[in-house]
Amino acid sequence: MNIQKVESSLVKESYYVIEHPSGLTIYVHPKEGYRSAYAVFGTNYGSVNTKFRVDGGDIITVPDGIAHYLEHKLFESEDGDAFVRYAATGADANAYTSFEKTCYLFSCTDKFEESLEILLDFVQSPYFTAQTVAKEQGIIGQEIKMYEDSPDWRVTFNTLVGMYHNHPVRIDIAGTVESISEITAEKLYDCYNSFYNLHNMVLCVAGNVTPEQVIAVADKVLKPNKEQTVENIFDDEPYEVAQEYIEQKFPVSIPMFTLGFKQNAGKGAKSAKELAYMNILMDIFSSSSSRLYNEMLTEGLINDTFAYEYMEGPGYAAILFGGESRKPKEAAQRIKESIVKFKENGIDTQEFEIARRAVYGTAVRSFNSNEKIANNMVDMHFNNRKLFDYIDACANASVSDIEKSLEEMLDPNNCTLSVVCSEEHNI
Amino acid sequence: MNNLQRVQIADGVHFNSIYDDRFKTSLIAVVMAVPLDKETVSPNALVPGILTRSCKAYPTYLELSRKLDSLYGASLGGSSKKCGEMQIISISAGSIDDRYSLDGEPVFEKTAELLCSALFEPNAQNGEFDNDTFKNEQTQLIDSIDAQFNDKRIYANLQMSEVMFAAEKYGINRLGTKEQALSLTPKAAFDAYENLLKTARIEIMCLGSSDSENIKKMFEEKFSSIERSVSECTTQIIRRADTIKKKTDNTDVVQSKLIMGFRTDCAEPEETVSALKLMCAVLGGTAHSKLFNNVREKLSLCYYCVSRTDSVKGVLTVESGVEKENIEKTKAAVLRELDDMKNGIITDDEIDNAKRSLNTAYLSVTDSLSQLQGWYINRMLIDNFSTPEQEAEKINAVTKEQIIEAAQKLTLDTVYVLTGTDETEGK
Repeated sequence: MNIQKVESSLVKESYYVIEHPSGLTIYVHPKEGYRSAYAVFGTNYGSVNTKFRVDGGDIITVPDGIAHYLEHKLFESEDGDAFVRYAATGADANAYTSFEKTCYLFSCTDKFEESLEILLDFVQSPYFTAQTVAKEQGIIGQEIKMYEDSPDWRVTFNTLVGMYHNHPVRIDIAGTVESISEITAEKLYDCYNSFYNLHNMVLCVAGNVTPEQVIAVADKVLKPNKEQTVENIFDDEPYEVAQEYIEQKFPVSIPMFTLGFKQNAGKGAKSAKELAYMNILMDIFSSSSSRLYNEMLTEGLINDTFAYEYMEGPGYAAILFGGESRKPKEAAQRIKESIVKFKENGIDTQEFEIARRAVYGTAVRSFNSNEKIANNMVDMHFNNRKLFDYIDACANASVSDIEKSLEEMLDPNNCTLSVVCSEEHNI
Repeated sequence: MNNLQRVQIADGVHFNSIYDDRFKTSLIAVVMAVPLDKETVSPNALVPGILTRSCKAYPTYLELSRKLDSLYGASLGGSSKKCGEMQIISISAGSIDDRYSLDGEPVFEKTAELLCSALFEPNAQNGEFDNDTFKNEQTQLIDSIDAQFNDKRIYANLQMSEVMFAAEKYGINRLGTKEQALSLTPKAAFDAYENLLKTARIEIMCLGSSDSENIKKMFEEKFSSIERSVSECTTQIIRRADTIKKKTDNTDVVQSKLIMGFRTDCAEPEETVSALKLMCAVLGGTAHSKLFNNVREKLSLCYYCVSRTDSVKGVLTVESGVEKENIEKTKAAVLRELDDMKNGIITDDEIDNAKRSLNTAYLSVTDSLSQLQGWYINRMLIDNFSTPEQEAEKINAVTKEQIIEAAQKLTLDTVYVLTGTDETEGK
């Protein structure tokens, strides 16, 4: 078994990478003096993986929302519910499904080994029957409806609908009430057997824990998996956005908007350095220390809910700006104009230095939390990045480094404006 | 670890500090508590925004933001909350620890100085706040009040609160009303600010690995020139409901929200509060509670059905998101679970599981600076300085009989429903 220790002198932290004989990669990040521990067991499989084949076999197409449905159903095993088992250890357990991954997690202050055993065991023990699958329709149906009533969720998802022609990122993670009605036990097993292979998964643990503790449980519970190749199939996606404007009427008293810039998805995920440089650049451009933010705030185009985020996954990449606004079209116009000016003027060295420090500070802060550390390790692993490379890149970035990212960062002619407003709002 | 040092530095002003070097950051907050009152709630709510958006030394938000970002993304923010029938105005700041600054700068002390000048040297003249800053913050406040309608779960809770506490101060919105916000002036806001400094009970809380002695002196000196007379805060406790209030509102929602409000006949600082908290956890506070297992898992009626209690006011609420035609069914199911508890139908496992869950929640507090800060501020406001460990011990000592008694003391006060209009039905 290969065990490697990785250290950072900058943040005085270290973690272990363990290549377990079962095929699973395990990361353990001990936090000295902490009382709690957090573990997350994730698979590189999310809502966008609806068309695939294994080891060159037949192409399998599954209903929208199945990854999330599978997440719910995995908690039930033949011998009972995982929440009931966790109840005996006191661990606080949960799970989430995103576009590109599904993660099962717990945090605890006692009985860590017992909880880890439950986690590894139930995720490896699928049990789907017609009856258990049917029972979940009502619960997930209500989860979908809860999100249908959420304006911030709607405004974001409508942006993706506007940006993408074909890519499944344009479909809600949980699917629709109709699409989930097509889910069967057999289809759940198809997805499980394709993606819940230890070679396609990762276990990340942070907090009051040692690598020895984790390895002992892994040795006991993990069943070795044969390596297999899963090929995900995505229909061709044009570079251009599908729709430039999308609006939904909604009972809101202040409109909300998202302006999404579609990017070239490229061959793979951004490197740690590229990610650091992009964050510094975005901070200069639109953080609360930027001219753009302060002008828009003073002129009433945005309020302090304004923020931006970067999202990327297989076949998609985008930068989204958004928040509440009484003048969303003017705000969008201003952002687009500012991009052109920003690219013309280049990087101001003083603004760069302020942004570099801010982005570095945020990275330092993330090492306070077991949850953040463990989830960051999951992301880093699935995207072939290394945890400390990001903070090193933030600390050592120079103006010339980030200038390279400037040209390709935002294309003002390739964006979608999504607005959620009420019948009374005149946008 | 977690040793709270507490010193009085002026009449009704305490400086509290916890030395803890496990974290990457340090935090400081100034918490001002005044009686919750219809007349003063809006002007008070405006103060934290104004104070943290500019100050004498940094008169615009751009300048202040850049100062904060150059301190490695230090934060400075404010909030208006309720605790029982107190309005809690906080301004807080945080930064990375000096150990992680790239140039050896004393980052935290500078951040604390900035907080101190934000509080004592505002951007004001002749007894009025700067007009631009005021106008901006007034807009932010109005937007925040409006945005409460955007999120239907928050909105339903606020509406329920208005019905249940129509005759109590607890029913006052933490931000006040839009009409009140619109009528404010730079002078009215400044008067509210001065009143807070003179009459609020003030708790300053400093946490992290920095030496807090200088910071304490800094605040001590500032407060020495203020003549103070502290206003008494009390919370009215209505022990039992006489009749059940009912209200249904219609708006354009897909999913109906059901909220039931109970009086608990028990509130801080009574000893039975621990039994109330445990009873609430057994009922609907965890993913193995009665409501989760029966209303969600067995009946598939909802995605969420949770109970929570505010022991300062002596109330317990149960809330769920359901189909319109299932509202009555869900209500009956909730009351059936509660009846079971009143009749002693509670297993030892259910009790032990809930105890373990609360233990995990309490003991995890010590692994997060912001949670520790929140914990002690909440404890101070009820004049009970117990540690998370001590509170966990109290929970562990609760017996089944005490849980049954706590359940038997609940009386249903209000049933609130937010549901779709006839038009929504057709969608």
